[in-house]
Amino acid sequence: MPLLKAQGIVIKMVNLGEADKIITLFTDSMGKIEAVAHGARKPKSKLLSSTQIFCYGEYVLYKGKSLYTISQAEIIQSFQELLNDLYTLTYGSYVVELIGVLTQNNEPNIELFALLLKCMYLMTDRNIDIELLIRAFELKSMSISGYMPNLYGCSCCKDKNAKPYGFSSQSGGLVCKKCFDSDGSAIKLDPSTIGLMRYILKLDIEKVGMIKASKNNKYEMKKISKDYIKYYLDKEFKSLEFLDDIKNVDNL
Amino acid sequence: MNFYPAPVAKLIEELSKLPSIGSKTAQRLAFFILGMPEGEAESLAQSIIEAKQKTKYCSICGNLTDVDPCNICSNTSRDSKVICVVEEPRDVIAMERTREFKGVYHVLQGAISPMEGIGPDDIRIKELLKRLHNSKVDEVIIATNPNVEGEATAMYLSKLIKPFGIKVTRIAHGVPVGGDLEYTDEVTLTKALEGRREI
Repeated sequence: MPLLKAQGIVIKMVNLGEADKIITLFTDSMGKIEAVAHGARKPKSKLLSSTQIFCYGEYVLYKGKSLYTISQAEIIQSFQELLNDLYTLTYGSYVVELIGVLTQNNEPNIELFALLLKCMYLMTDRNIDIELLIRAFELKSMSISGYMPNLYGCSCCKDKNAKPYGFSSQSGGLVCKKCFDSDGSAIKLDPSTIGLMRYILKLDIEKVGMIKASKNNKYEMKKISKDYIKYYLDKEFKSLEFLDDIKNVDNL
Repeated sequence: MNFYPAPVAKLIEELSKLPSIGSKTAQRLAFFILGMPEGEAESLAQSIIEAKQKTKYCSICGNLTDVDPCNICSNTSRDSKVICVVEEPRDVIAMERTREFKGVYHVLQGAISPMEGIGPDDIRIKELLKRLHNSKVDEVIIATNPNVEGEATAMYLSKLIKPFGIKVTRIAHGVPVGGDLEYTDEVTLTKALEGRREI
């Protein structure tokens, strides 16, 4: 049985039987795959920490009938520091959950892999504005996966010179005032938010730390991202709901 | 299943509902039960019913018990000022086996999982806060598992409990007793280093 080697990030984990785990790995060369880690829940297992969620490592696998099996794993970066803060933990969970939904099994997407990895590294930086980083990640990961929102002209009447007024998930991007009025689900945007989104889409995610965004910008981006992702991926993210829960605790 | 007499088929069907028991194992178990002396089979059936009917969750700590409040909560020699928070009733057994801990427990019956959508309202956090509010507690030890869910729960709890002015501690993570440093993975070793203590 040929051994395969791939670098990957653990994006999901489910228990199997008494002591085994099935982990979902997002790898550079094989895309999203599911692999069994035998004995990975035993305290003395060599795979114990390399199969924890968020772990980035080099995995040696072989292919079984339906699932891969992990034979060796070496940690490159465990990202366990994300667990030290409730916000980074929840945002981290959201990011891997989003990747899980955006990708299909066995379809490599090196660009998305690089984006995820960069985002995880940036999340460990305590000085970064994590909310803005996540918004940038959402925008970029959706774009890489083929759901890039149209940020120029009007997406509804296709007038390239129209002045953007709001955002409509249904039309797939910005809409002009006239189309905004006829679309009940469209969300009004401040011109500065539109500028910011255009800028982020072109910018490398590593440079997100240099951007300053107002509270309103972030609020508007959050609103449209949530709406856009829900419209196209047809999924509500549980980690995002939890985030609102913990924000409420902090405001008490 | 038509090959079996109806009562046997029913038994196989019920047994195969148990975790990690497929139909083949269920058949084997069913035939074993059929081969048992009648008294033993009866006592097996009786003990299942008895266990199911008599055990309940303790109204104070949420642990499995046959008397309410449970033996640990009603034991006056235990220190009720120290509460150890665990995820599952079986974690209480694990802690009790140490014979080191003399405080009381609080079983959450789960852990917060941002990915599974298990929020703070789905586990017994409200009961814990009520307990802290009503009685004098000096320390809360959070002994949830050292994984994503356990850490999320631990941090959420510490955020909630700290305003009460109660000391919140987390159990240490590190090298197992009798373990070998050479074979300890880097994550565990980092945790062990972080949690080192003066001797």
